Amino acid sequence: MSSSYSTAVMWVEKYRPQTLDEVINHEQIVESLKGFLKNPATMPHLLFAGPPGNGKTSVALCLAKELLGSNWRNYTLELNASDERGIQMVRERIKTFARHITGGIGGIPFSLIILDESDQMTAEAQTALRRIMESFSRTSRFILICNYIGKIIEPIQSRCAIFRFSPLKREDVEAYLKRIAKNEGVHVTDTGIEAIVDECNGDLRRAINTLQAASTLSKTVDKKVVLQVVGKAKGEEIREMLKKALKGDFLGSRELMYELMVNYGLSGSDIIRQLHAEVFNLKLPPQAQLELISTIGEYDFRITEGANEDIQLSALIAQIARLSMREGWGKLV
Amino acid sequence: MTTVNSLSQQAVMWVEKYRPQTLDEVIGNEEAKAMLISWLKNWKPGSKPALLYGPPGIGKTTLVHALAKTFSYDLIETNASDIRTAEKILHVAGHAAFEDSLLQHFLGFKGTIILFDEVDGIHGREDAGGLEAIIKIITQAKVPIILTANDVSDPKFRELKNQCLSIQFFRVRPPLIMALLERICEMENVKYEKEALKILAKVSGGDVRSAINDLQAIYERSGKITIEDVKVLSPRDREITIQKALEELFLSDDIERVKRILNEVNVDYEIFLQAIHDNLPYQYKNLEDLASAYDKLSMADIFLGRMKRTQNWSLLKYVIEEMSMGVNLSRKGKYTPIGFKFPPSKLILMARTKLTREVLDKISSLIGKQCHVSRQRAIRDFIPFLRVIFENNPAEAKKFASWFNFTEDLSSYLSGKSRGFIKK
Repeated sequence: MSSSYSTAVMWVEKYRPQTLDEVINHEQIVESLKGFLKNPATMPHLLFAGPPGNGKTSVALCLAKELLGSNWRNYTLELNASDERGIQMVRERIKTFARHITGGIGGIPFSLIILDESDQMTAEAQTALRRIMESFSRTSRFILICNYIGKIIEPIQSRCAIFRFSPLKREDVEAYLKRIAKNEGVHVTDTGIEAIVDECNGDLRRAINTLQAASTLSKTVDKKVVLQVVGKAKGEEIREMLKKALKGDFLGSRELMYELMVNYGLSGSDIIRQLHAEVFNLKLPPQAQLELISTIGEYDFRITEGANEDIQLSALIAQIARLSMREGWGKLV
Repeated sequence: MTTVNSLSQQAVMWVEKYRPQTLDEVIGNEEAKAMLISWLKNWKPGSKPALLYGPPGIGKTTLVHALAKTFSYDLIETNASDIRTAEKILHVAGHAAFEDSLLQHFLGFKGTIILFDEVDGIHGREDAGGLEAIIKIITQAKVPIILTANDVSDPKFRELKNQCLSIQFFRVRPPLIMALLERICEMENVKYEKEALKILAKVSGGDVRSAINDLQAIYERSGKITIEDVKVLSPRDREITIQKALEELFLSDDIERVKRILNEVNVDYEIFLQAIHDNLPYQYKNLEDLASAYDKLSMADIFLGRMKRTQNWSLLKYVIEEMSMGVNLSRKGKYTPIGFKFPPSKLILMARTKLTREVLDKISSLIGKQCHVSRQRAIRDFIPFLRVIFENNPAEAKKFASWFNFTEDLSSYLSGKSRGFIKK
């Protein structure tokens, strides 16, 4: 598998750091982790927290390689909490893995279990996970990865060394993108790079994917091309859905919403987040934009409280349509 | 106007007052009754538990209570309104199931019977492990266990059925119900016409509980039971179709009537909420009305969400009131009735788009394998960009397809050739 990185087509994989020294931006974390390399037996369970696309999984993989050597894949179990069907599944896979793969021999200090998106687990599942961690802690180490440390229960936090991955610095993202562009022979303008960085909010994975998609559209990647990619990636459907609602076409707007949910796999929260972003692209007076934002915000809250995303989104569309008809915004969009 | 709804606020409900106390007082289902009694008499550790199943309101639970009383057993009960996760069940019933309590013998009980009422009400998701916990208890229990259910045809009950002695209960025949109603009228000093009781017994559909409730409702309203009084009564529960309930909800001007019909409609409230949501935009054409109604529906859904998360079933009343009164009272305009859509379009949509979702699932799994991300993350941060590439640069797309191991249909989905709902 590791050899496939050199021929990888997705740049996020091709340019994923292979050693801790190649990791950008997290100097202090890397220094601490290198300490464990000298005496692996002292390494506790680790908890990596931070926003998406800033290198947590990469650091975990680098650490695995440097701790376990060229056969690291045989001694590493990579799981994604949001993909596994429940804690039972996680337990079974860890059990099977830990039973056959035990560290402590031949220079392998322990086996490694990397559990990504662990904050997607419910509190009950995490409690069960805590027990699993305890029962396998003699032969295995866990690296838990999450976005929000607040969603990890305290007993787990207290069993781990916690590393907070701060958002990537703007200039570091820029430098990384420029390095890739140079290597791939892609011509990117300064405004093009700026546009990518603006759009991606420190998420290097999205930034690299944007650059790669843009490079297949045009020889020169400038701001225009980037915005074209971003527009497509964000879905013109969202804008269309919002416009239909503002024109009072409830059913038309809702039909698009269903399409987005089903065809594009967007969750209700994804749609609300993108609706919010689209409000600022409308030619509406600021006062009107503010009222729309309040309405969207209210339903962003409701959707997390409710049971059925469809109902909440339909209700939101109905509120937007009513507001727009009352205020006469339909003519403006 | 007195409604069935407001009955619950009254001190004495006849269903409770006349609930049979002894085995002889339980009417109908003689064969099932005999089987159950003989099961208990011959019960010894290792015997199978009894599974009583059949339509609601015919006396399954009542019979178990009378049985325990008659044979001096203590009864421990869990039912659908309790939390029935594995942990909870083991906590409540496990203790009693695995040991014979000395205390009970002092109190004069012969032993304990555990009753798992309405086991078909156990949800796979909310009551995690509930069914498994019950099976665990019944296979190891040292005391007699009885389970009741309305419908055990679902395959998930197969193992449970294998472990139990199944006893089927049938609807109670109208003459028996009529005799019971007559007896209650005599005891309560209610003037009645025999013909009226006959109608009541017949429309009850063999459901004793609802027949008694109807009797009391009519008495509370008119002070007597005549044919005239009985005619006013709406058709019996199970004859109220979901269409009828939706019609009342969207079109009626009589909120009391709406409340009563909704109280009686025999459908899962979550499905009903979905059905309202489906039909609302086609019924309320005026955006003002539509938005008000949706605001209430949104609140109903919020209460539903809280209820499910916290297992606080007392929130159910808000769910029902927000979705019934809220939707009905939001209507200011006059609308001409149009046909209602049922079953919920969401289910149809899910079925129709199953192929699309399968394709998305396959694509995101393959991305996850290569790029160390979850399927959700793949959908959010990879697929949008891959679409751009696949739509605009077929030559590049080929390389990606082979690297990811995308099959032909997955690639053509990304390139937009099969965009829209994929159909077979």
